[in-house]
Amino acid sequence: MKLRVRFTRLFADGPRRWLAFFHLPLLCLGLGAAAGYWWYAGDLAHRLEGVQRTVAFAGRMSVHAQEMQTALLLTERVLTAGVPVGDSLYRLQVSSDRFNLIINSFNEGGEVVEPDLGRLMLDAIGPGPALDTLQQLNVAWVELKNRSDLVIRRESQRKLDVVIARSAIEYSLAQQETLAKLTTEFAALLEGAQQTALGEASFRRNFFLTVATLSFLLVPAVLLFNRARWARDVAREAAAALEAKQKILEQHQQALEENQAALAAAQRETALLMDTVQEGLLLIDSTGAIGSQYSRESTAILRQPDLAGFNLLSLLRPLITEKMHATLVDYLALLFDANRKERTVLKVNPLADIEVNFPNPAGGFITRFLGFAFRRIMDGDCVGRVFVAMRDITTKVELERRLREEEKKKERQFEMLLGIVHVDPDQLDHFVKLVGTELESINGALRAEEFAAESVEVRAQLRERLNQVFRSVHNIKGNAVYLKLDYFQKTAEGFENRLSELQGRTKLTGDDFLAIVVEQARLRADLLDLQELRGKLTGLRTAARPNAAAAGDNLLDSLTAQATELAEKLGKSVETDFDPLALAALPPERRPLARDILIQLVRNSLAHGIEEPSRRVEQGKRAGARLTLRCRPTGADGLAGFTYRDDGAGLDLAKIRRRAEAESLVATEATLPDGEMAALIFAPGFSTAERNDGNAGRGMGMDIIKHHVVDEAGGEIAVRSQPGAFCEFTCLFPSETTAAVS
Amino acid sequence: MDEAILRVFSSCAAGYFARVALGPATVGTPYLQSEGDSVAADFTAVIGITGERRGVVCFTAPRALLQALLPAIGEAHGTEALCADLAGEIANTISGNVRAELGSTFMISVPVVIAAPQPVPTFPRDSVCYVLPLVWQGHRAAVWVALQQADETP
Amino acid sequence: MKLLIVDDSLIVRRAIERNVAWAGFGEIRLASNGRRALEEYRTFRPDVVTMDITMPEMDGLTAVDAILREDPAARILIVSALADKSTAVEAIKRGAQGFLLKPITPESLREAVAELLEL
Repeated sequence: MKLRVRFTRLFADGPRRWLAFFHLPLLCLGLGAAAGYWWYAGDLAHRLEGVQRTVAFAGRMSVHAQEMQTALLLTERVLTAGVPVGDSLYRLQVSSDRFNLIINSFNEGGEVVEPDLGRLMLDAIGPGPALDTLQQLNVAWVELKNRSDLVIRRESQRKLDVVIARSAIEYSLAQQETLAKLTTEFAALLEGAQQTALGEASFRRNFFLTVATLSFLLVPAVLLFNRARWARDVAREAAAALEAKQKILEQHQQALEENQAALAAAQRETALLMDTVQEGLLLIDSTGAIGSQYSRESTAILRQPDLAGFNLLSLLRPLITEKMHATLVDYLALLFDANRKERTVLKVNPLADIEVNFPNPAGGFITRFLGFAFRRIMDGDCVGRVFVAMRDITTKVELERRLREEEKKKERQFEMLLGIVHVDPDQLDHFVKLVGTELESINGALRAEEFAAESVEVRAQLRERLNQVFRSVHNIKGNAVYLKLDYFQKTAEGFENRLSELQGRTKLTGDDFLAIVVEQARLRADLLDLQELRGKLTGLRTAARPNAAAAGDNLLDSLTAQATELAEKLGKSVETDFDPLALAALPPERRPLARDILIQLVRNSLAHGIEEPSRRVEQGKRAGARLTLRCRPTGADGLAGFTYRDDGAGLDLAKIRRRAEAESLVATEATLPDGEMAALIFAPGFSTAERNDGNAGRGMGMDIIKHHVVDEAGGEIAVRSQPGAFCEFTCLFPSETTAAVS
Repeated sequence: MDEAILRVFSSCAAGYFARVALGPATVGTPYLQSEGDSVAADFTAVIGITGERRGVVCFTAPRALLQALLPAIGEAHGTEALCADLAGEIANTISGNVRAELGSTFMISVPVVIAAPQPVPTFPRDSVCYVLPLVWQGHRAAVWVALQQADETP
Repeated sequence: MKLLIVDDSLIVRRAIERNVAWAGFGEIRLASNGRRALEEYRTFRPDVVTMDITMPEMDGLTAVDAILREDPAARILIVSALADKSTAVEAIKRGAQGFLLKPITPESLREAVAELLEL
């Protein structure tokens, strides 16, 4: 697999392919051709040499012929001289042999030898002009050889004589030119013939040379050419690629511009949002540093024109208490702690509403309430940023606070109200005045301006002041107790206790009076509350009784109306005979009390005293009962008031007795005179059935009436009754009002 | 309003004079300021308080006291400006020292000094203002403390 | 040596100025709130700064932060009436080198400034 891959990869790209299929083969070819050339060149050289040698050998024939001639001449001379001819004949033999060898070799092929030319293998001459010449040469030679041989034979036979020798010489001489000519011709023809062969060999050599050269030239040429082509291709490709990329770039650029435009638009929108949103939005990192983007409202809320780079914690620090700041630092750590669940952390947000105080350039502080909401922005597994939303919730908080305060106040006041509703408004007024006066006196005692150095006098002075204060407080307490103002009573008692404690100390310092002043403040606060309530009560009462002057008439009218209404409800009939001046003798401040009393009396009459019309008629009374109210002017005892009577059944003494026994007010066996029995209705805790039923129950009971009239006002109340006839009450008050001081 | 707090104010006020002045100051019996009552002296320095308790603390003193006090801190003679400044500084120092006792939920503002006959801030009828009078070298001054608990109803 | 005194009270500024004669400050400048203090610091480059905390416009601790951000080598002595521990701790945490409580006496000021100069 790998090999195949490698193999294919080998031919993967152009150059490799070219290398494999062109250059390498060509190179091989070139090398082969070079080898061939080298071979044929060698061959040619060899051949050339061969030809040259052959030609040389061929030429040597004429030399040998010459030599033979010379030898023959020499022989002749020698012969003539009568010297032994051995030497020259030897030379003749040699030359003849040599010539013979050569020409035979040319004829039949064979090896020729020459001392200076070496050996050479000759081929038989083929048909052609060379052969013709050779034949001629053969002819010439044969004759010469014969004569030469003859000479030699004769010599060997010792029959050599000059004549033979001379004949040989003559032939030789005659043939010498021919031989020479023929030899030369032969040589030339030989050379020519060889040359053709040479030409072939030369041609072959050249061919191979050409091929080799071409190959060796072609390879680099093609290589370079290819390279150039590829380079051009690559360049073209690159250019094309570049162009393509350029196009893409342009496209991208366009897209980018579009995106930028979109981004700019989005940014403008975001900026618009940030400018308009009514919340302070910003991002903080784990150190509390504010990011560069935040809503405009943030700067307004924090009262800081520029927020980028500032630290939220540092900005808030001068505005909040240090405790809050420490809490904030801790909470920030929690927000950025990825190990804590976001939901849990957000649940314990201590900054849901906090108070911040901006310094007021005019002095003091500007108090505001801010609400913070947080959200984590995750960055992988960590909390990268926290998103903060701030709102100024001052108005909301202040409203809530005011509401709560109002509610608390109302509660307290209601409590108080319950405690004072039973008090006569006039008495309440008096009490208020009293407390006010006493508080002034206390204050006066405390701020006595004489400062002396620490001395006995000072100490005595301080003690005297203390006593003064005590007296005032005690007075207040007493009044509170009398009016059953529990609320006040408690406060006064507390104060009194403090004072007693201080009185017990042997040494007094200015500092001790701090406690007093605080109590005093408390008392004063209570007083103010009381005054406010008093105001409210008056409002209530005057609403029901708008005009004090006409109060009498209106009072009587309303009483009449009530009586009629009640009578109808009870199925009874009633008419009122109220003297308009009935209450004229009353001191004006008693009117409210009188009204309440009368209401109670009327109710009692209708509910219990007065019989049903039928019953009345049976008894001979008018069907409609009559309620009478007359004035009781000031008598000798200085008391004045009114008398109220109904002509009903009168007091039911038996019922009274039963009730009294039930309430354990009287022993079962005890006998009481009627007067005392009647007086029982005034006993405290004497609750007749009337008290609790809807018609007569509300309002004051007889015991309270008595309390108000007798105990508080110092007046009198009397009852007269005739069973079956009437029941009459008389209420008298002293003509001057005096607060009962115990 | 705790008497404890009043005590702290009282001691810090006395302490200031003890440390700075040529002689100590005597703090007299404190009392409540009623309506139309305590008239401000020549200079009144007002410091706003907020936090757990809110309201104002004032230091009011006559010119004579301030001018007598200036040499104690190295000023040769007192101009109006210096007297006013000193009143503010005294109020600031006393309040700042009180902070040590009352903790860091007690935030104080920069003092504003009012010179008579300019009107001083009047306290609402139903708020409580304690007057801590003090005497120094025969001059009378006072520290007014009108504070209430943050969610106390007046 | 140069000194910058920062306090909104004229009295205090003058008092401090008088009481550092022994230290031999060549040039003394005054600033009455944190913002001015920062501006003065940039141009004046004092060796020592005394800084009050309760001041209008920019309080002392914020000014300490700002100054140290610009020059971490600044030597700042806090002179304040705020006697609670957490304020002192916060001041030192922010980088002030000393804390002096008002009312100041010449001796206490001398001691504090001497200590600061040794640093």
